[in-house]
Amino acid sequence: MAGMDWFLAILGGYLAIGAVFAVAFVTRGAERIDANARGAGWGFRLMAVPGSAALWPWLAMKWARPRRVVTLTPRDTLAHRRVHLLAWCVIPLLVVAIVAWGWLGGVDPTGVGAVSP
Amino acid sequence: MSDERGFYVGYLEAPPAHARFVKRAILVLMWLCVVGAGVSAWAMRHPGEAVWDTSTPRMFEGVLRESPYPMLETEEGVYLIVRIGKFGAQDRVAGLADRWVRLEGYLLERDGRRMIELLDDAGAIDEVSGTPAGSEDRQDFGEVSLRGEIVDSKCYLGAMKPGDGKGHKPCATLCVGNGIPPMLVVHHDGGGKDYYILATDAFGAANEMVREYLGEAVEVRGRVVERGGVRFVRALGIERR
Amino acid sequence: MSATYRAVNWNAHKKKYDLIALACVALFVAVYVGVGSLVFRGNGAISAPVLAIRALGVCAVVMLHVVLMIGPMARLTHLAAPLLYNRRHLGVMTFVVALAHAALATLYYGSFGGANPLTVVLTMSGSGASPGAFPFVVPGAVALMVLFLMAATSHDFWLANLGAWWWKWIHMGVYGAYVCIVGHLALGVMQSEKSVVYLVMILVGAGLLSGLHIAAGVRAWKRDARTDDAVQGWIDAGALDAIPMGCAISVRARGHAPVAVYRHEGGVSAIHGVCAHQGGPLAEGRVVGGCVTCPWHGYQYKPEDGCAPAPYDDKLATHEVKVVDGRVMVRIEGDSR
Repeated sequence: MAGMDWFLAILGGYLAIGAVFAVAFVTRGAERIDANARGAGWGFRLMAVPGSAALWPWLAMKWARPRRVVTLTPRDTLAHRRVHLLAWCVIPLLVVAIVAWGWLGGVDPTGVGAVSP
Repeated sequence: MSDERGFYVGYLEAPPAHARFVKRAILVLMWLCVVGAGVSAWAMRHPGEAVWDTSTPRMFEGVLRESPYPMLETEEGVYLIVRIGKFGAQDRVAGLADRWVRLEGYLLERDGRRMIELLDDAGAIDEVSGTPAGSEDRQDFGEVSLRGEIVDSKCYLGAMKPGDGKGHKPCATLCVGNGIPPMLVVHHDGGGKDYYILATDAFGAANEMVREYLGEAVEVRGRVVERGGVRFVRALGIERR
Repeated sequence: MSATYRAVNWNAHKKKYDLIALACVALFVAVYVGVGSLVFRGNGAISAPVLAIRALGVCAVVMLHVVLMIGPMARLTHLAAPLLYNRRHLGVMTFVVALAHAALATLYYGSFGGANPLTVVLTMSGSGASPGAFPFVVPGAVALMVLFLMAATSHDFWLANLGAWWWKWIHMGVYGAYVCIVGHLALGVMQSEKSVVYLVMILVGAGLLSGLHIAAGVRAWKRDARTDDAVQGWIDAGALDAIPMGCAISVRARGHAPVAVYRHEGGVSAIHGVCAHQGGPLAEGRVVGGCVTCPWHGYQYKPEDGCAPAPYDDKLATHEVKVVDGRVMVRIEGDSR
């Protein structure tokens, strides 16, 4: 209980700082790291708030040292495609294992009981 | 402009083959929504018949018992007493043990087991003067092992439906942690059920003892006693099954 | 990418897509609540909040399955491309429905007891390692956090600044979320909702998802493997006649990303085969309006120089290409995976 309260307090603090940061970031910072955000409307800026609040330490670093990354040759997605395949060879086994454990291993608390003297 | 060989570009009009495919996909999706939602709603477990009548508060009169849980013994039988929200009524009835009182609250009832949800205002509990306190008559049925689920009696008697099972476990743990009487529900082959209010071996409140076992399949070992038509288990031990 | 960001670059297709998706969500929840209140009536009625919590929860699970199915479907048949086009809106909607489920469950089960509702649901759903005692809310919360991160970073701004490579890895977290949700169900509500219907639904869902992904994955694997061992330098891409006008074939040299060799009105061009937007396979695209067009989201590049048409400022690398005796030769050098 105490552990979870601490975790929630830390998470809440992280997101609270993130929320304050996000306001500054979407109004000023976003266009510093990405020229396409210059002159963007409020719809876009509002939409960027949750992500900015969640990823604020990384964005703060980028904002402090803006560096326009120009990628002429986007990286191949071969690794992703292979991971998709590998992942889906493992996931069904996990699903069956979890369901079997939960279904066969779990005793229905609302099921039939027995009374022994 | 869309390509004559059927190449789809999102910001252009879809080629006929793609449009046909999407139309079929939407029909399948709609069908999936209706059948999937309907079947999964239909397949839910029946929560059982229970009443929580919050339309009008009622008056109850009888002898108040403080231990193991706040209860009112009346001519119609015994009522457990809890507060509004997920709280037991221990603080409200303190010092009124074995007195003749009048309570105002809402009725919860399942299978003949009844509970009063005491109103929050100070006037909801009144001592009726000059009346004798009833005596406790107990019957002992000896030591048994009972298999079933420990529920928080307030939700199970009608405050939530379903008020049992694993999905309800966090709520049951909160309720019982706040003093609501824990109750063991034992299901029988024929569909019948038995209900036992859980107490400690010393016939005190068992809230702390049962707290981590709520909503799970358990086996309770203890002595069954009956008081005023209500069965209690004076628990010696609880095990997960 | 370029041109100023907007919240959503709406077009007719996206509007229709979102309207249909919203209609399906409304239909699902309405049917669930309707059937639930018709089957369980009177004193045996299921509490309204429970009905809503369950309707939203099951709806989110079904939506996640649909979202996960679209990817491999689009790789298996190009006809499914319109479903892929606006998939991220569907993903964001899935998160919103899951959030509604979680918020309602947290408030209903965790409130009215003087404690922090979040602490209640996160710590009181179990405390043991057996199926009955497993804290089932925890995997549900983990899945919700993954869905949040995906929804929050779904805009192209994040794609551009995280880079397609990292962005894709983050979004693959959805597979972990899917497994967590199976755990949330199997170790949670299914411990006491024992109807075989739910067991069948989960297993059929997992079967469909893995079947589609494995079929699409094996197909891509075979295609990738075919070209994987070609050496660098001038590479024979095949007969010119084998490339239909306006289409491309993919050439891959060892240590190099695939190259899309396009035949178009102006001749033959070889262009870096990975789209600058999300890494889409440019060789599977077409020439539309004189531009090489990505099959995923319609990003365009001029075949001669790899430049995106104005106002966009992306540029993809191009390669020297020549036709010798009816065979297309492409020069691929350096290392640019």
